[in-house]
Amino acid sequence: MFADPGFWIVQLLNGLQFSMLLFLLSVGLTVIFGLMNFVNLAHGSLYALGAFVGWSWVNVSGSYWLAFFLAPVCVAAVGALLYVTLIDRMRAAGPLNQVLVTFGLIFVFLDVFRYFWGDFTLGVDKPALLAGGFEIAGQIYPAYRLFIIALGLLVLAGLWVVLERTNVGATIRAGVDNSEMASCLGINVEKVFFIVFCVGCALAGLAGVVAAPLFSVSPGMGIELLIPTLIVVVIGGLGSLKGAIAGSLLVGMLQTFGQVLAPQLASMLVYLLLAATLIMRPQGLFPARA
Amino acid sequence: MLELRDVHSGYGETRVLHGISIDVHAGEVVAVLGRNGVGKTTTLKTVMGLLPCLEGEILLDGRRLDGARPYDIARSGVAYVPETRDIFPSLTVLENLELSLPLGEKRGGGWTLARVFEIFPRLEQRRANGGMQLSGGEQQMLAIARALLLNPSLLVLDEPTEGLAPIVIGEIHSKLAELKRDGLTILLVEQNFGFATSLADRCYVLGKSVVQWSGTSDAILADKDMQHRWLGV
Ligand SMILES: Nc1ncnc2c1ncn2[C@@H]1O[C@H](COP(=O)(O)OP(=O)(O)OP(=O)(O)O)[C@@H](O)[C@H]1O
Ligand SMILES: [Mg+2]
Repeated sequence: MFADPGFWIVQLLNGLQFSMLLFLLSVGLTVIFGLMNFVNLAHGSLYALGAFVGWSWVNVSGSYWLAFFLAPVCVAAVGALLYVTLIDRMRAAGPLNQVLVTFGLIFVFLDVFRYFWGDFTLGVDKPALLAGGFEIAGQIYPAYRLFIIALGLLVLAGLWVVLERTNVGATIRAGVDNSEMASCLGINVEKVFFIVFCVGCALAGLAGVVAAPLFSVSPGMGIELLIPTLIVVVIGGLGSLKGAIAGSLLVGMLQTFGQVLAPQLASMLVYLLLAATLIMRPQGLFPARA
Repeated sequence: MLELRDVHSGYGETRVLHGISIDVHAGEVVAVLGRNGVGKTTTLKTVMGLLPCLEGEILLDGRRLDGARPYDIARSGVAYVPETRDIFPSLTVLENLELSLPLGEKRGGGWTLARVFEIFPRLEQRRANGGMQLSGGEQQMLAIARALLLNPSLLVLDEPTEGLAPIVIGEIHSKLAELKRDGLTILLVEQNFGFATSLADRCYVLGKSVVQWSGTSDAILADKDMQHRWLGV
């Protein structure tokens, strides 16, 4: 099996696909953290919300693509509501309070999911367009997974262009560097925070609706992915796009290859990577504020 | 133009300013002097809304400034060059300058990128460099240029000469003198006594959390006793 190049290619693609999912989740979390010094542990719950809302839209409309576009919008709206009612107030409350409140939110979301969608595992069908597969090195590889890879790369490129090549991006980077000085230049930093927070939530929702046909949709799905996402953020370095990319690839590949090559060790490997990073580069690989 | 009336401010529990009153008239350069740690930076941060004005009031052209957020204060025409310069490290020189353009263009006035590059040609040469690849003097020029692009009615400078070589200090001095000739109102905090008194029309001397002395630059130059007591010159 190991001698077959097709095996390695398939695992590489699987790793890339998982990395892209992690990227969609971690990029919002890390930029929000860099900008606002705010840890939102409920970010994983927004991912689950994206999957549930997506499931509902598919059921109502019968169209996966409608769900694909609407789920991120709905999650962003919920994010906006959370921001206005809770998160904005918690900004000055210190990290311990933020962690406690957003940790509490995880359980609120769990009950919300159980109340509206029941404590079951729901399934979403792949869109017909992507139900098939491609032959790659003698293996049939699912088109849907390739779609996730392409989507992740597209979002990555889009975010890179916006952050690195536009005035809006420069404003966000300035806010991450030094929000006080940015506001002294007449920039409404609060508004920037709000918009970035909503975009981060939308990306979490996008990850959720995209993951729905791949995994089962269940109330606990966000919690499962929260830990690897936090590890990505810490390994990559807080606040940076580059860090989110590097961290997602490292964790995604390590987890995927770990599971096939050393299944007994797989769950430990990511933590070892985390520990090694923290010992050698406590700031992470590419921290936004060096 | 700017009026501080009995301003109290500080950090959390620690009060640093116990009733400061300072007046800056339009077209004037006013210097605030005083020993290390006396509260000069605290005064400017309070003007910018970065620290709360706990008592007293701050007025700009008769309008209350205290309690406003920094970005509102910037929008009403106060541009700030902090002691630490606060160049954005992940932005290029040009991006650092461009951040000021939305507000600067909305306010209107004579400051454009072209004019800023004219008086600070070094910034144009370094426009593609990262903010942190600049020398101390270049960073100071960038911080001043960025403030000017806001087309401010009041320029607030915190120790622009700190840590710079004499030749660079001379350069900054001549640029600020030029701005003064153009009629820009400037509130300047300085430790460099000669630099401050040669630029300023009037000076305030802080000591023990309050204003100990105020008067014209000529008067402060003549008052050796006061210089010795509150400035250690
Ligand atoms: N972040 C802070 N928290 C608590 N106290 C502070 C803080 N920053 C400054 N102080 C204190 O406030 C007092 C005034 O500080 P400030 O920075 O305004 O002095 P300064 O006159 O600007 O001094 P320098 O000439 O060294 O710049 C000092 O005693 C300082 O220790
Ligand atoms: Mg100071």
